This record gives sequence, C-alpha cells and structure tokens, in this order.
Amino acid sequence: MKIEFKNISKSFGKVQANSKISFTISTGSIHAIIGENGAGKSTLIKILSGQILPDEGSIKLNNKKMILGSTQEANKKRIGILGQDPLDFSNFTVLESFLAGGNKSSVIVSKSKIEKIISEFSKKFDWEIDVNSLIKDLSVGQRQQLELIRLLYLGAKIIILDEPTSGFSLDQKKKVFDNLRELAAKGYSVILVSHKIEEILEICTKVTILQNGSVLQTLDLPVDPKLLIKKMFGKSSEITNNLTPSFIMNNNNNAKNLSLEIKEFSSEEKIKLAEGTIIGVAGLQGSGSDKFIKSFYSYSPQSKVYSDEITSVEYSNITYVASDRLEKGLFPDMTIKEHIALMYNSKSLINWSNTLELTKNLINTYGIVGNPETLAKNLSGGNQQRLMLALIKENTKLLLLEQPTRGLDIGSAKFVWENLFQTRSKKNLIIFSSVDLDEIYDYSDYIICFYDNKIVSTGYKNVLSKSIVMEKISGN
Amino acid sequence: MSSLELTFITIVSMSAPLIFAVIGETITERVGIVNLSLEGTLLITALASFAVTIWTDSLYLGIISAGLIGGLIAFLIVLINFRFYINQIAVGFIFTIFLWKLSSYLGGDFVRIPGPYLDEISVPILKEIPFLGPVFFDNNILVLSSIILIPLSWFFLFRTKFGVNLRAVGENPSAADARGLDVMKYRFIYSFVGGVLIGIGGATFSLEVKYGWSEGHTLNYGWIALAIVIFGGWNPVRGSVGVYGFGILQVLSLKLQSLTIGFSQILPLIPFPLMILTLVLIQSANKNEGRWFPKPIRLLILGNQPQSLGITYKKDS
Repeated sequence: MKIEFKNISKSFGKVQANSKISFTISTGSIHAIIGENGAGKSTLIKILSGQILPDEGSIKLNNKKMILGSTQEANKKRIGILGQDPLDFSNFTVLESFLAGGNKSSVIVSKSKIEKIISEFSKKFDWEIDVNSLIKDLSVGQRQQLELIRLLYLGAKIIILDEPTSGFSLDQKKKVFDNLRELAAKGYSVILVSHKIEEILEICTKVTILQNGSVLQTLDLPVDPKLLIKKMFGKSSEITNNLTPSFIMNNNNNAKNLSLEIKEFSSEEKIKLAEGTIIGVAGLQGSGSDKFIKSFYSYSPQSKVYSDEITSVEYSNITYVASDRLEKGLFPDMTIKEHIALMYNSKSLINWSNTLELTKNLINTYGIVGNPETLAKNLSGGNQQRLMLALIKENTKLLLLEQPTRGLDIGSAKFVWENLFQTRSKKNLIIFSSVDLDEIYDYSDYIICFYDNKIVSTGYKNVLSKSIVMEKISGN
Repeated sequence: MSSLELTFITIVSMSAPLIFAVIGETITERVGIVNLSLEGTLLITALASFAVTIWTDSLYLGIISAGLIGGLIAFLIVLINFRFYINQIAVGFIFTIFLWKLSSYLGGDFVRIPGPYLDEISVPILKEIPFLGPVFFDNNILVLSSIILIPLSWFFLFRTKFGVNLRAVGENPSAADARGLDVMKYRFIYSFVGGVLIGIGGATFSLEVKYGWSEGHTLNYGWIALAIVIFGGWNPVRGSVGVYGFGILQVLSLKLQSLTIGFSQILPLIPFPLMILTLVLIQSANKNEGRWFPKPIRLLILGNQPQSLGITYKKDS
C-alpha cells in the first residue's frame, strides 16, 4: 500500500514534535525511519496508527485520504504497530492478550484454534511461547514475538516496527527479516524505526531521516553507513570506540581485589577481580542475565560483592538502574525537579530554590531535553536514561545496569557510556547486561556469559573471543 | 420440607440482591470504572421499584425502572469522569451520600406500607426434587435470575470476545485503544449494564427480601458488596461464593441466637477477617511470580485488580 504523508505537524505545548513532514512510502517497500532520540519518529508513527491526532496535515493511503486520530480507522485500514514496549495486557494469559481487540475471532473464544495459530507461527520463526502462561511472566522479547504473530494473523497490510529487534536473537532476527521481505514482495508495506544502521542496511530499501521534527532527506538504499550516521547526528557524529578500556591499563597494582559471590548461578562460588572493573553480562533475551544483575540488589541478596574477606558492599552503596525505566526506575508522574529533590535532599524540609538550581545544572550536565517541570513520562527514552544517570547516588560502590542502552540512539548510548566511564574512575564496580555483543565488547573488561539461567563461561575480554561468547550464549 | 432444606432456600433467596450487586459491580470494575455509589444506588432503586410497583400495579415495571435508574447513575459517574476528568471515587462517594439522603426524603410516604411482592413460579413435579426443586422450580423470577446470572456472567467475561475486550479496556486502556477498541464506548456500555444489575439488586430488596420500604432499607449491603467484589478477585463465580458464605454465616447466627449467648453475635463478624485472610493468600500467589504454586492453582487463585481501575483515561492529544 502506498502511504503519503503531507505536511504533518504536531506540537506538545512548546515542543514542536513534527513540523510539516511530507514523504511517500511506496507499495511493497521496507522503509526505514531514523533519527536521534526526540527527532519525532514516535510521534509520526503514533499519528499513522491513529493514537495521536496531528495539528495539521493529511495522510493518503493508495491516494485516498485517511481519517486521522482514530485507532479504529487505522485498524480498519489494516495498520499494525509493534512497539518497543509491546502494547499488551500484563495480567492476561497469552491467549487472552492475543485475542483482545482482534476483530477476527468468533464471539465465543476457541482456545484450541488460537493455540494452533500461535504454535504454527512460533514454529515458523523458531520461537517458544507457552499460551497458558501470563504475559507478565514472558520476557520483553517474547511479548514482541507474540505481538508480531498477532499482527500477521490479523492480516495487517502496513506493519510498523518501532525498535523491535532488541528482543530477538540473531537467528530469530534473520527469520523475521526473511518473513518481512516475503511480505513486502506480496505488496505489504513495512516501516522500520530503528537506531541500528546495519539492520537498516540489511533489509530496507529506502530510508527517511528525521531531524528536529522535520524530514532531512529520503534516500534510496544502500548507501555508505558512515554517510547515514553523519546525516543522522549532524555534528555529533564522530562515533569512535576510543573509549574502549584496556583492562591491563586498569589492572594496576594498587587496585584492591574484589570478589563476587554468585552461588545461585554458578558452580564456581567466587570470581576475583580488580577494583574498577566493568563486567559485561552477555546473554540472549530470557537467558537470566537480567535476573543475575537483579540478584545483587536486595537487603539480603543472593549474590554479593566482597571488598575483602568479610565485608560485602552494603545495600545503601548499590545503585540499580532497571531497563524498564518508567516502571522500575522513575516516577512517571513526577517532574525532573521532584526526582532531584528526592535524591539530593536529606532534610525534611525541601529547599526548592536550591533544588531548582541543582536541577538546572544537572539538566545541563546530562544534556536532558526538558525543563525542571517536565514529567518523567513525557521525556523520550534517551532523556529518561540521562535522568536515571543523574540520579545515581554519589556513594555508589556497586553500579548495576540492566540493558543500559536499550532503545537509545547511538548519540545517547555514547553519552551514557562516557558518563559511566567517569563514574568508573571513582573506583567502582560496574556490572551491566546487554543483548548486544558489540556493546559488551566495546565497554567491558570482564565478560560473564549466560545461558538458561546459568553462567556458562567467564573471562577477561582478551582471553574470551567473540566467537566463543557467541557460541556459549546460544547454548553450544 | 426439612429444616435443612428450608435453611438452604433462605440463604439462596436472601443472597439474591447481593449477587446482583456484586456481579454488577464486578462487570463495572472489570472495564476500569469504580462505581462507589453502590450503597446509595441500592437504596434509591429499592425505593423506586417499590413506589413504581404501587403506582402502576406492575412488578415488572418496578423492576425495570429500578434497573434503568441504576444504569443511569453509573452512566452519570462515567460521564462526569470523561467530560470533566473528575475522580470516579469522589463522584461515587458523593452519589452515595446524596442518594441515601434522597431516598430517606422521598421515601417518607412509603414507610411501612404493606407492599406487593413477587409470586413464585411453580413447575409441578420438578419442584418436588429435594433442594434443587424449590430453588429452581418453585421460586420467584428474581432469585432464579440471580442464580442463572452467575455462570452466565462468568462465561461472558472469560469465554467470549466481548468479555476479553471489556477486560482489556480495564487493564490497559491505551493498549486497548491502540488495538482499535473504543475505550469510551466500552466503559459507558458496561458500566451501564453493571448499573442495571445493581439496580435490579435494589429492587430485589424491596420486592423479595424485605418487602416494602424503610429508611436505610438495604442494611449497608452496598458496602459489603464492594468488599466481596475484591474478595472474589473480580470474578463473578468467586464473588458469588463469597456472597453465599456471607449468607450462611448470617443465617447461622440467627439460628444459634437461641442456643448460645455471646458466640452467635460474633458469627456475623467472621466474614470480614476471612476476607482479609483471603486477600493475603491471593497476594502471596502474585508474589515471587507465584513460583511455588502449580500453574493451574495459581491461575485459579490469582485475583488481580484491573490495572487501570479508577484511573481517569485521557487519550494522547
């Protein structure tokens, strides 16, 4: 289906999210939309899927004007969206969540029929989804998989994928991409919103670059990836890996030795490491790597870090940064200023004018796009993560990061890591998990591989090669 | 008729208004709306059905008008919430007090008038079956409907497409909207339906359980119903088990009054700590991802509050 955006504008208060966006997506193409965090991608996609009514402009599908601001209309036009955080129902069973809102099922629910559909699709993509479990017991990746199955089953003709592949393993991703190509060949339109340049170059035929809410350019692919990055970030495009630490440099003789006690996950009871090490926990979605990170953070933790033979790092000196930022990290309905007040005030009466000053400073230092009165839920993903960094306790000795750059663009991810390296110079231990092997190799000194809730391999980066890690985390 | 059978029938009949109220409120809360006006709605509809029946001499008109008034009140709560973003709980609470005062003001003329009541519908032969016969084949239409409503509403909520969509709206309205469900329409329709059932519950009071009208006629059952909805984990069948359990303890305490002194007074109090204990059990099934419960048992006792219950829904603008 041909999609024409014409002069789409939308502002939220003073923020112009989209301004006069016009471009065309042709029938049967896989079209990428890229741009920095806050460039207006999500807004544009929400307008196409009827969740947001634009201030002005129109969208034509196959030369017919579409009614905007109505999800009913978008569903009728077979527009399906797969979000970064899947729009599903956490207390429902897989079956119920699959059915909700679908107009294809019969009045009385037929369990066996739906089970068959889900298992057929799962087989095709090599997924495992238990239809009887609850949505909240699934990993984000599994939830995305289920959503994709649902969209395909409902016969979506325009499939929007908003930053979708973080939950898929390499093999799974390949199968999904193959399937998307097949659909495009049949005349479906696929829109891929992604920060991952390689991914875009691999499957997309065209790319539209957004910048500050406007279209910068629409290009035919393939092009030189460096050019794409340059266009996407303008000046801030010098992405280098010179941040990569060398553990040897760091492993000086003065550094104290630490040991990790990790009985729950490994037959080896302890791992000895130098202070200031960054530990990357590699594993696919659902491998237990996130559980491992979380196991350090509790009053009576399953896993502990000892700074010498007897003393373990205290709860009050641990900071845990969850991957689900709005649910576990921030208070969605509180302002940036209020977050800062909570973190940096020890007295019972809050000094608001000091807090305001501090907030302004932190907003500057961390480059948060927003003002002190902006609610956390209204920040973009990248800015939420920046706020989380601004909130890391000063006395942190153990910093736990769950998927720290999930859903962030390259610029924001780079900022996060630069910031974390500063923290490291204060001789802390950082443990982070990631499904992205490049991230693990770029930023960690020591690597722990996870498969099926167990540690399957550990070692310093220079000893453990990437191909070994790849094999280990996929269960070989 | 044995005395055990008689007790059984008393419990089933006495519980009818609570069954209507609990199921009505369960449906309402499943779509994400708290109708806190329950106590007030029961009072005003009990009065209305009685008054209309006296004026028109038609029991059915009495029941229908009570249903419509109950639906209208629920509709108003949703309307005020949607149009002016005023908290549902605040509005419901004000409605309770207002309707309670209104019922005692308007009801002055109806106090202690001997009233009409519903006749039994008797089916010969079948009504001779012990226990089931008198309940199903020698009973009035309201008690009978209250029993049929239990499996019916369960089936609707958990086994039909409309039920799944209704609950989806109560769980996550934004996601439901993204999937093309009209959140507003769902909330209006099913709150109205729930309100109608609550209204019929009110009619059941004045036409079946306690004939006629008196001030505070509904014995605070509205508040009890609100608690039983939670106790029942927003499930009509479990809620009804709660209602009948409550009824059994009430009847027991009446029966035992003559035999013991002191103890029987405690019986009516038992349901409340019991409810709290049950809630603790449900909560522990949720915790730790319910690891130590076998999956079917866990699904059975899970009683999650609809996640957007009572939260004003505002579409991104």
